[in-house]
Amino acid sequence: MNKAWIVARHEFLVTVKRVWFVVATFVLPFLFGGIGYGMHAVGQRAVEESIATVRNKPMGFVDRWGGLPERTGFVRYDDDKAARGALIAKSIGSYLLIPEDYLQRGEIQVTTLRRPTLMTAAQPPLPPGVRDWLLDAVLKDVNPDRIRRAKSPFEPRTIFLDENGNPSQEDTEETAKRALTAYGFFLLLFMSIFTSSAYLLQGMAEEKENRVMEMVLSSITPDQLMLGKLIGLGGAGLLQMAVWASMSVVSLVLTAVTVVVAPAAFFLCFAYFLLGYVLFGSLMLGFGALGTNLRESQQMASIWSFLGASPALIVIALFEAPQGTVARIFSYIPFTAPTTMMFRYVIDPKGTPVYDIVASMLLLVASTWFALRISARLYRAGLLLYGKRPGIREIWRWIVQGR
Amino acid sequence: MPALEVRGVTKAYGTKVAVDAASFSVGRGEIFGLLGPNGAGKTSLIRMIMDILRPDSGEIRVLDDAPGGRERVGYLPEERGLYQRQRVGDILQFFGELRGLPRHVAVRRVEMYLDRVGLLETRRKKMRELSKGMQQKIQIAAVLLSEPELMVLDEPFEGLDPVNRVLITDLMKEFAAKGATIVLSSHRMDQVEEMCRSVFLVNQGKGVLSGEVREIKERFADNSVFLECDRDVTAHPAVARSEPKGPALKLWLKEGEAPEKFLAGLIADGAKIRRYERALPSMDEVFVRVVKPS
Repeated sequence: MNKAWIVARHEFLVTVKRVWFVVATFVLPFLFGGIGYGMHAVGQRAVEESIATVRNKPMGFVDRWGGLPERTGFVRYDDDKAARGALIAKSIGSYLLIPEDYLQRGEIQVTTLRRPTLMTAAQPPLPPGVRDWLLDAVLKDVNPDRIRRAKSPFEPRTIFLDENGNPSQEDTEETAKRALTAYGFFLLLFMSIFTSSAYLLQGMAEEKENRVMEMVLSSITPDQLMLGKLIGLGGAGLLQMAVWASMSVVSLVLTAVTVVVAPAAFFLCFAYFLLGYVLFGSLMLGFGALGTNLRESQQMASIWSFLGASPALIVIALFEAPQGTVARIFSYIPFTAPTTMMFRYVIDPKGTPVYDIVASMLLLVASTWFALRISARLYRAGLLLYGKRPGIREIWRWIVQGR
Repeated sequence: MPALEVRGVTKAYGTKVAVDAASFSVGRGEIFGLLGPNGAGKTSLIRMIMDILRPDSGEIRVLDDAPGGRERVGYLPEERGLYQRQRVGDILQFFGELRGLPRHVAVRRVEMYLDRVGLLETRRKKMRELSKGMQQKIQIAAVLLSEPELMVLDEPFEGLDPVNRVLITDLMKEFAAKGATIVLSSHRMDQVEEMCRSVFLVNQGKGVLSGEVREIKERFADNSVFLECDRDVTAHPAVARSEPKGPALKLWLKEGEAPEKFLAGLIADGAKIRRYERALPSMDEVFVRVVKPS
């Protein structure tokens, strides 16, 4: 065990001192956040710019129906030809043509020089207030209260009852925040587990490529080496997760978003990280050891990354039905349990049955133990393989017989 | 008690027998040569000695199998390298600690042995910044710094220039003089001949030759001598054939002709002899003669 600690300390220090670890830990979150915010802002701005060419100019209208009153920002034209001339002269951004049978058919024609784009094709190039203006004209002699109701027929306020028939204290805004937080935990856990596992794989492939392994193995058993690597790089992963979690908390505080997360969520996150990391890390080490270089090791280990990432495919189902059948099935599958269970618990802490958590944990512990055993065998057998990739039968023999 | 004892060790990979009932022992303080052509089974044998592989049958006893024995064995594998992106000092300290040295001792030894191999100034450099020969010396320092009682060195001179070869040879002799046992695997027979007292030659997994170097050379000697004198003796009745070797002649004596008797005859004839020496085969020649037929 002492030697495993020496390896653990060595791996931890080497990893946290690496430039890429520091960049990934401290810069990447800002980079991702910045890119996400930037993409959103740039997109919004582009849409606004695209519509502004229409909206920032007065709008013309030709009223063949005869019921539209004058209104600020709208220029009346006697006929279609005059309105079109003004549009081409760019004195207006667009114009409306209200046909004689508007009341019967409700159809109006909007003419503009602006070309439709992907993001704005569905949005008619209308300035604000057109809807109210038309409604006021249609309902000219009607009671103002009715006009208001017609403009805004209802404002829903849903009351959610729990199983006992009591109204839920949680409002929709709170639910949305909780969903976002759950997604945050999901990403945090996923990234922590797979970043740490990737470090494990990369380190081992480098050792094989650099031919260090045999010298190391003359001082330490493969099992001690594997344990030391799992502990050391798991520690680095935990450190990274802690930094990212702290950044998330700070950013939430700075943006004054208050989301109440049950303290148990942090404990569960820690537990699922440990189990998930040991499960995926050991499998990646075991199967990665069968490759003769980093590229081959990554190919060998990629199946586990795919399995681990699969809950992302059902994230909509998790949002909509965190206690649904799909979510529960994914909670029992060891490869998807950590992220799925974490998501379910954070989004719906009261609704998540304790036995689901316990059962998923037990299955995960059993699978991790099993994965450790298999991986240790493959790791032992694969470490000294240079330049030759084993066949399926050979791999199976190592799994079954040990070496 | 020998430092290393290998008894009837066999190892197979599927149907291929890599090591077949190998047996030898190495005395304490001895420099021992483990020889063989490529693919003979040396690496498998060495990996079993180092407990990296397990033998299918047979027994290997290292330093009497005493507790902590593994930490008292140093190993320089043939397939070797060190962490390219790490600093020399950190790597050596890591290996020292893995070998059971307390951290403060490891730090001290790192400086000491880097100095011994003439690379103290590289302590803070990354491995990838060093030349191949320098990396080779760092690897040797990594083995030496735990001051092991038994060292297994597979091709330790590969990649070294003559000056560094002498440096490493002297270090090994110094360790042996202090009581360390060295198992040396090398294709450089001149080095083996210079350093090893005994050898074990393995071919196609089987031990084909073992014993003291001197005794083996005697065994393979072919009744020939080197002679430098003032007259032509190629037609001497005791000489079967001859071949010039620099200023000397190599003479193969006829069967039954003793070299001592031939020398006595020359002296009696009044020949002025500048050099007379039994021509023992080099270990290179012995190696080729043993291995070539297969």
